[in-house]
Amino acid sequence: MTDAVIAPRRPWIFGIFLIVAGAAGWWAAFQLTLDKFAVLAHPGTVLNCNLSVLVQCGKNLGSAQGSAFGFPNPVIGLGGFAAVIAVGVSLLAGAQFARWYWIAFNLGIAGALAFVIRLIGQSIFSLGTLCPWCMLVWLVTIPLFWVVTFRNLGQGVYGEGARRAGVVLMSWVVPISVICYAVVALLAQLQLDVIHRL
Amino acid sequence: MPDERLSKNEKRDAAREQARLTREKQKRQERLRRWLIPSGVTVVVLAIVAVVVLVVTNSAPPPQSADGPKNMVSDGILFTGSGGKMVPTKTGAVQASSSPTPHDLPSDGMAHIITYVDFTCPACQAFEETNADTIQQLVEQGKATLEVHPIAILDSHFSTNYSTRANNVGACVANFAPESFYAVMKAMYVGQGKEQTAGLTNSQMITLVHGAGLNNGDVDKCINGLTFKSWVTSATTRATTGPLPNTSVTNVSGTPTVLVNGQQYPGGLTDAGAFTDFVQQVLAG
Repeated sequence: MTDAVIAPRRPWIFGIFLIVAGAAGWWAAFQLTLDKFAVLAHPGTVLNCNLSVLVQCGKNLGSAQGSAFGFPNPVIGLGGFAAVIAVGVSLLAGAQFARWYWIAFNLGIAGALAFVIRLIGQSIFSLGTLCPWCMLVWLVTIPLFWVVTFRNLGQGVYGEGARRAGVVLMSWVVPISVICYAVVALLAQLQLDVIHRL
Repeated sequence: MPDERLSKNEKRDAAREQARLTREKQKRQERLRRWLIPSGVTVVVLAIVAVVVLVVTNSAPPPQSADGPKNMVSDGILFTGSGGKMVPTKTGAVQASSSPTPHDLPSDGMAHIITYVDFTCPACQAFEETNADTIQQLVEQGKATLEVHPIAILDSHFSTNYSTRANNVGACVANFAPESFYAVMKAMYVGQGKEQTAGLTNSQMITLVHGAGLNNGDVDKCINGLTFKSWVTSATTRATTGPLPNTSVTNVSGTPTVLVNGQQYPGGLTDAGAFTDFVQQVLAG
């Protein structure tokens, strides 16, 4: 018997998901950055994303919460989502990463999720707006967090004991994400009566 | 017996192959099962969301009323003192086809205070902040009556006809829960939106109403549905074009317009002493 070195299967579904989600998030951040430039260059510009009092991004961009760290939030997205795309492309190319790399990636995305949760709260409860590009960022960040976390659990990044849980949880990632969306939608409806105002 | 051994080997191989196939089949089935239940759950969750959206969409706000709110037959809500409390006077509504019926203004030694206010007007907020509690005490002590006329003159100062919507809140509360009117009015001033903005959303105003201790589904629906919009508009026009009943003041030219036994209060909005002095002066004749 010879020990055949079996190349691990390339996680192409995971890789493509990272690329698609990362690209969508990056595009949203890019559009928000352009809108921010437009407002700065020509105050009073009517932004394409401003559809109504309820659906607009002008208020979000102009708010204090829109520059949570002293600079416009979308700048964070331009960097962060590029990293997500890079990891996805590397996986498709057959890259293998060290354990610390996956932990760092997971931490980064957990940070992104925490920030997004705060922004969702501010948008719904404080600003009273639904900003289209911001919502695209929410839309991709939520499943990104679950998929990466469950993948790491399933691959033994957090210990052998967690593998089984990771594999099972990964099969639940779609309903878990959908329920997260439903919770956000419910909060928006209760607070802003979205359905009657669209 | 090479033949027999060979056949044994073959049998064993065949059995192994069979077992491998069975194992693979089981694995495939297990993987399928693992994704089957979550997929089912996803479909169920989406179905629930769809049903909720349909229900909410169809629960359209109640139709707008052509008539005015109950308890505002004079276009205003009248409070009198009774047993140490400030009690709203129950009346009918101004019908779409008719004009308001003013309350009598008897010369009975009491201060009959009539205010024309806009819930979104900062000057009204200042006046109420200074005098609302004093007026309430005067009414509770039986020394005064208060008639509040909410009118919407500031829609142009907000991007979302906040003025009409906010004064509709007053009409809704007068109609469904008149005993909460004063508390809600004060809450509306405390939580008042800033001028040159969108003002408050209906939901934000509903939150204020709840905060003032009024939890009434009819009121919430009335606020969301702008039920008394047409009354707010006509009452505003009646007040701003005049003539006003029980006073020589011809029309409301700004809010707050405060009348005590027909005489307009000319003093400062934030000067509590000036208002009580004015009341005394009017009563002294």
